[in-house]
Amino acid sequence: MQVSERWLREWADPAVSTQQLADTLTMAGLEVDSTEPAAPVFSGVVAAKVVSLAEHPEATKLQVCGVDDGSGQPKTVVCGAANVRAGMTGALARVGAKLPGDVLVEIRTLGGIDSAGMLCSGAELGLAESSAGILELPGTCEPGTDVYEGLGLDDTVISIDLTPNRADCLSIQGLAREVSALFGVPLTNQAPGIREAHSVETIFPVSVEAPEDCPRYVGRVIKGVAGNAQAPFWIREKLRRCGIRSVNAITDITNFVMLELGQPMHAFDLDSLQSGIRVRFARPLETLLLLNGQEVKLAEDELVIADDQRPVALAGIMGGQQTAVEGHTRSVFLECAWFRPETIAGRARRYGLHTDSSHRFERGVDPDLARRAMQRATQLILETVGGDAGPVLCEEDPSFLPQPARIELESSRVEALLGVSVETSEIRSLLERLYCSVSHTGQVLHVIPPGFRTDLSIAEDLIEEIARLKGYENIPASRMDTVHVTSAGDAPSSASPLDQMKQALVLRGYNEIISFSFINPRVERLFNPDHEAKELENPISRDLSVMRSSIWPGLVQTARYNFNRQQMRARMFEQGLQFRQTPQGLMQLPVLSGLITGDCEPLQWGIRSRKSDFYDIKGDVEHLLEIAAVPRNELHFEALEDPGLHPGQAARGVFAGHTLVRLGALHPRIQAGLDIDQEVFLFELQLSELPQEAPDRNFRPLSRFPSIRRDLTLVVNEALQAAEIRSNIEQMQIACLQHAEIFSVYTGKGIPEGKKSVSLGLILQEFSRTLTDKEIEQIVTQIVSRLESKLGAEIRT
Amino acid sequence: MTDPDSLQADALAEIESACDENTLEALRVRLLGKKGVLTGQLKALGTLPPDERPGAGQKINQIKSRIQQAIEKKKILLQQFALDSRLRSETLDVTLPGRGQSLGSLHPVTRILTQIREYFMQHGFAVEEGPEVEDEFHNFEALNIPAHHPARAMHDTFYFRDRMLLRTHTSSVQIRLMQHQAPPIRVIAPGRVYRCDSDPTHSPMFHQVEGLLVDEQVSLADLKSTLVRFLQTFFEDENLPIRFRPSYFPFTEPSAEVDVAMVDSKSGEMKWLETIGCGMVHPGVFEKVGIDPGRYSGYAFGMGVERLAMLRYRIDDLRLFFENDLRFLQQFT
Repeated sequence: MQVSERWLREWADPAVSTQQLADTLTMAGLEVDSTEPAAPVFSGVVAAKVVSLAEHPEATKLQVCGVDDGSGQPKTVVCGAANVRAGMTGALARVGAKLPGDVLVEIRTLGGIDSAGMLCSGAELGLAESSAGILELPGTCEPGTDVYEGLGLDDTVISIDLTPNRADCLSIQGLAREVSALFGVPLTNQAPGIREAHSVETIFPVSVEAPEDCPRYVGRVIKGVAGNAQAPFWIREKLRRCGIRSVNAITDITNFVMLELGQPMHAFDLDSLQSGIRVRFARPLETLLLLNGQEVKLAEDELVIADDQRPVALAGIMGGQQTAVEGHTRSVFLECAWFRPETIAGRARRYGLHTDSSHRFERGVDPDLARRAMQRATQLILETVGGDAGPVLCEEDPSFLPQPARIELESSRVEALLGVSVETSEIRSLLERLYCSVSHTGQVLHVIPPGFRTDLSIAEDLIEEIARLKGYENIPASRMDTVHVTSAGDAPSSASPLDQMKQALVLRGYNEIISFSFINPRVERLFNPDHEAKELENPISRDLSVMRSSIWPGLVQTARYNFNRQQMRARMFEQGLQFRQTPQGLMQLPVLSGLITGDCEPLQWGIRSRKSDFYDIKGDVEHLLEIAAVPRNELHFEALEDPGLHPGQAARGVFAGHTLVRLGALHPRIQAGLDIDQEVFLFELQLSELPQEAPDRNFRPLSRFPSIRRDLTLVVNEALQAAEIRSNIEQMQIACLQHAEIFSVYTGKGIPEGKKSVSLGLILQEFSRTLTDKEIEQIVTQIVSRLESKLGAEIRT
Repeated sequence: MTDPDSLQADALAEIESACDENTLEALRVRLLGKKGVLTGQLKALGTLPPDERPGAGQKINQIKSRIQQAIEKKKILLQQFALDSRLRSETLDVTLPGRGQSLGSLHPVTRILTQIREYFMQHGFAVEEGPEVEDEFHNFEALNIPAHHPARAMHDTFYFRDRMLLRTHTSSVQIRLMQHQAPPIRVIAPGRVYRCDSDPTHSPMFHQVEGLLVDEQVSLADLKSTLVRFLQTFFEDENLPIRFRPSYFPFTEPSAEVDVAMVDSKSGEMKWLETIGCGMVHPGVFEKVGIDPGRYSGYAFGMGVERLAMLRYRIDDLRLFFENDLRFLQQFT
């Protein structure tokens, strides 16, 4: 809502500065966004009457005007505007005048005639974006009057960011009521009363077929108006300051009344309407060409204003082009209605529209305003462009009009909710300042809010009003923690396994990223071709249109973003949800995912540089699983086929029968498809599959006897997996075997083709005694023979 | 027999000139060993006349002990020398950097979230999370925002074809919680939220923390105290100017915006900046989740995490949070 401060002060004028006014409004919940001058400063411009007009002897487009600028000395001014005419009053920038943009007006010689200044256009004075001709001032402007002062241009445009509940403030009248209540100053310019005199008997019949949605429809005919007339300057200027473009006198006046009182109106060209007005819902296949040139296909839940033939306006939103007031218009039908907010709400948006009218009707207009607004508009039309008004028609069904709320408010409730005590008498007087009618029995106040405050319906609403008028700053900050600690929260979060895992990743050089949860469907399909991703109906762009079923696309694209900025080494992770459609519905699963690429360590002198590989990321993953207390013996890794991963370098870790983690090298095809020319390794950990039970934290006693290490080197088939060796040894259940760790894997010289050598370190230890050489030899022999028979291993000791 | 004095002089000279421990040890064996020169001399005492033996024996023992001492002394010296030279040879360029992995970083949004979370956890709030793909009931209707409510226009919502939506705030989590938990309730709900809006000052995805407290006799004054203390702690400024200003949210009544005054880094002027939206839980919300508004009252608040991060770290461009440029992220190690 953008308003002229001067206009507002015509209605309520507290003795405070603009800044104080703005601050007070802000602190009362009407947030002032900005205060800007209504016009750029200029000086030396006065009202001047064109007394004579002659064609310029040398230039056909110029005219020579004799003007009276009130100085007593007639002046000669050369003017090129088409609209200059004898008898009009214009704005004369005298020689020496300073115009906006630091323009200094000097004597100019045009075709041999000296021009003593210039007649200015609105644009030249900063009052319009562009102008077709010179500015015409009201004839009542005495020649010589300073234009800047005379037009009240030392005005401020106040922009207020109104919350949707304060529909009542969408007008000068409404804001003035607020200013009056806040500063305790009277409303000096009450809206006119209702005097519905008419001078012709013409009526245009109205029938409301949807009384529930339009319980009040006020209409009247005004004959003998000129559709092409321009509204007087003061009306156009007020509209301009409030951000509304001038169209023609009739339209400007309906807009003026909307701004002044808050009632949206519409004017139809009477001669293009057929038979009578019908307020009804649109019928199938009906269309309407709107004022803005947009042709809309109407839906059956859209209320329209129709004549006997067709819809002529989208009720409460916008009129139709074919019945609009135009230059040829001689008679108009004025509409002032009250539409149920629910009937209007959301309809404008369907067509990408948001009008001053729909904005107000959606939020709620004062139902009692229609007749007063009609009277005000009639008065302005008759005064400024003339015409004859017909009788006012009012079709209404008051039973469908909102009834004023009746609210009971216990004064103790005020203290309970605000935490500060307010006397009943003060509550009463505060509410009365807001035009509530208040009576009370004992401590209970019976409050009827005014019709325009549709937002006040329960006691809490009134309590907010009380707090607002007293000032939120006057509510103390209290004693909270002494009173209300009734339950303790969780343990500090830094102890949670997820936080510990994230910390561990940070220590391992990973940077946390946050990427969008919606991604490009093409990229989504690369990683998950068989999944139908959940698709947004109204995405920002195609690149952000489906919900990710994995965080990998986000990580990979982030890596690429950084490659393009010469960051070739990346270690990154992200935590968030992945969205998977399943037969059971959409699953929103928390995952922790990571990516590494480029050099394993940052550039440094002390480590031979090498590229990250599968085992680097696997090491990180195993570290995370240890932090999450996944029992080692219940977790196993196996090769995995995954569309996102290199088929020979992909694994999953299985725990409790579910895939806990997937990891591997990005599939070279995807890598190429995304224009990435270095290897990328990924992991994705399903947080919901982590063990929920706390691990066994009991201490295991240490053996006091020495441990013995024996190393074995096996030559096995190259395809044999380490897990086979490990599980074969585990199945032997040798109690004193503490560890069996592979410490070398070798292929090449000395090893036959298709074979590899694997070295195992065996650590043996008994709890209650020292193992003898004989026992050790026995165990090693057992292991050797098992590996020989089960895996065809050849042992080299 | 060799003249003991010249023997001693020769031995001491040899010890003196020994340049490493091995030479010295060989010398010790030659002089003092079982088959050494001095042992030989002592053995040869028997060849002397009996009256000369004590004097000669004493003399030899004296020499033996002097040589022993000299060897010991020389040994310590040589050890010291050997250590010195080893240390010299092992001296490193200590200005070269150490070896190993770099330190990563937590995203600034996570850092701020953690700060907020830990503050409220210490004040007895639990942490709840909820789904990001939500239904209209939890995101809007239960929060007093029926279809076509003008407040829906403030939440440019992402929809799916099945009328599910991406939550526009984490207030939806509170509804889920209140449906299942009886008061007293103290909870915060951090998480991602989505608005269909993208320009330099709006991101289609951002983070929010909502807070909810429901109990008997909770007032606006309590809310004020909670948030004032939080903001003072968060910005580490006990004198931080804070103001509460009336506002509107369909699910709270009264409602307020909390502004803090900060120096604008560009203009150098003090400016009020919105940080938290809050209010007393609307009785209509309590009714929808089956909590008796006659007995209980409560407050709710919501804050934008990126906004707080921008204020806290003086970040001037929202887009930096989601570009994930490593050079940006590494500033938060």
